[in-house]
Amino acid sequence: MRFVDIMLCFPSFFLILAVIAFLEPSIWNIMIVIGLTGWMGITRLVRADFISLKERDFVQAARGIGAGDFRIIFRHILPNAMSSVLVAATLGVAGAILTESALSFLGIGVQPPTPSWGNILTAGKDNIDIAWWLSLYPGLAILITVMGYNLLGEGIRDSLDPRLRE
Amino acid sequence: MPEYIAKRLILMIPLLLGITIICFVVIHLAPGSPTDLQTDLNPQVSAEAKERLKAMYDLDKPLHVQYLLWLKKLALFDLGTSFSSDHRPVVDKVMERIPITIVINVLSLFMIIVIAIPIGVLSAVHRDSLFDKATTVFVFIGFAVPTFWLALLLMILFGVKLNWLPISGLRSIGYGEVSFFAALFDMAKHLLLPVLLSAFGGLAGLSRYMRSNMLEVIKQDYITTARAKGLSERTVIYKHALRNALLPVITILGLSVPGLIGGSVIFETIFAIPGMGQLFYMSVMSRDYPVIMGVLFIGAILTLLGNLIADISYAVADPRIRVK
Repeated sequence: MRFVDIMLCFPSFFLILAVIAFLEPSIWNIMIVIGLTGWMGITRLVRADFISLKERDFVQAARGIGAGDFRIIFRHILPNAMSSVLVAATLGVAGAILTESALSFLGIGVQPPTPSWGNILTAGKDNIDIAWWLSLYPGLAILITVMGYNLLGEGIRDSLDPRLRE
Repeated sequence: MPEYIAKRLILMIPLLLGITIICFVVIHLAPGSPTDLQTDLNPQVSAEAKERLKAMYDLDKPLHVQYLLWLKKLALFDLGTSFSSDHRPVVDKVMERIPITIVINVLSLFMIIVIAIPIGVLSAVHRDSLFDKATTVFVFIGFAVPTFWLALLLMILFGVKLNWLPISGLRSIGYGEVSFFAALFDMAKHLLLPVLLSAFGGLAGLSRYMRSNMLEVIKQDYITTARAKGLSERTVIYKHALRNALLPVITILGLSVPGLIGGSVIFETIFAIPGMGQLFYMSVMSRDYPVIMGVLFIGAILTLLGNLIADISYAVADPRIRVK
């Protein structure tokens, strides 16, 4: 967990920039970088879930029947921790889209001629005086997509949370 | 309390070591060396001269030796000198750029607090009202909007179409010739958009957080007690509930420091503001190792201090924690 703390202390965008300098900018590398710099939140989440779940009665019961650690971790605790992971992953997609578009906008993400909403916006910025619509629509597309994933995440959370089910 | 602070400060040392090791390894793994810029374009440079140049910067030594050399200098508060053509000490380069980044971040944090907290409180108190629904929509947009895009749109609107605000830099031409207040006004005009935009993302998050805290607190027994005592609704909400709902906000503010510092890369690049983010972006592009290390190190210290201050103020504000 110390390592996670260290990773959380980086201004994440600085870290991404540093890693990009190491890997040449391309679609694959962007995916790798966003993954490499974005896993810490879920780690903490799963840890917190496991800490509380492993004290529950059903784990005790499983141990009482004689289930091994492996079985308890993967068959009993993990499925229970999955719901918050699923939510975090959905919201993470939204975050990753925003990060990718920001990187591509700065010219260190997806490289033209491969189009990305971010690098279309860069082209829009260069023609800001004559063609404002070039800057409007790609951003609107990002906004709608990200909002879609956020709403999906909230929806999953609401439907998986038994306290909210009435 | 002093013991606690001392303990936390000592704990920062291994964290800082870990951070710097990771940074060091990552940037040195990068293909391309800082000497390439000086040598590749010059056909007269021999392979031998290249090696000598590398040796001059200690780049020929194994990575761990280089790291220890860096650490040794750091112990004397020396972050080295920049590899770029000006060869200035990294400390000077960072120090002349840090104030503007800090000013922007502090102003936007201030704005986030001043705007987000009332929004959150009001939408919790008037739950399911029209105001609450409107702010929920705003929050979802706030979470989803790419801020650099918003920056572009506002630049088009206020800078190009309406011509109200300057769209880049910090100062207008002829900055030195006008009075102090005119210069201040000029600077404020330049800073308005960057501050507004870096506050925008945090605004949505904090107001949402504040709302759910407030909803949680209002359900507590001591609020029922306060109401039962016959206190006015105002006193109950603003004295009893608000104070308790504000506590976790302190931690959130501490945790938001790295995000704000990181976000400054984008805004400083878009608005051409000469701050830390821009310095970092340029030094990464030119493989200026000492400057990269310096900025990352100072950024890490600011982050750790932000967390520490948050934890301390939490302990000061909440007597329940002080006991431990």
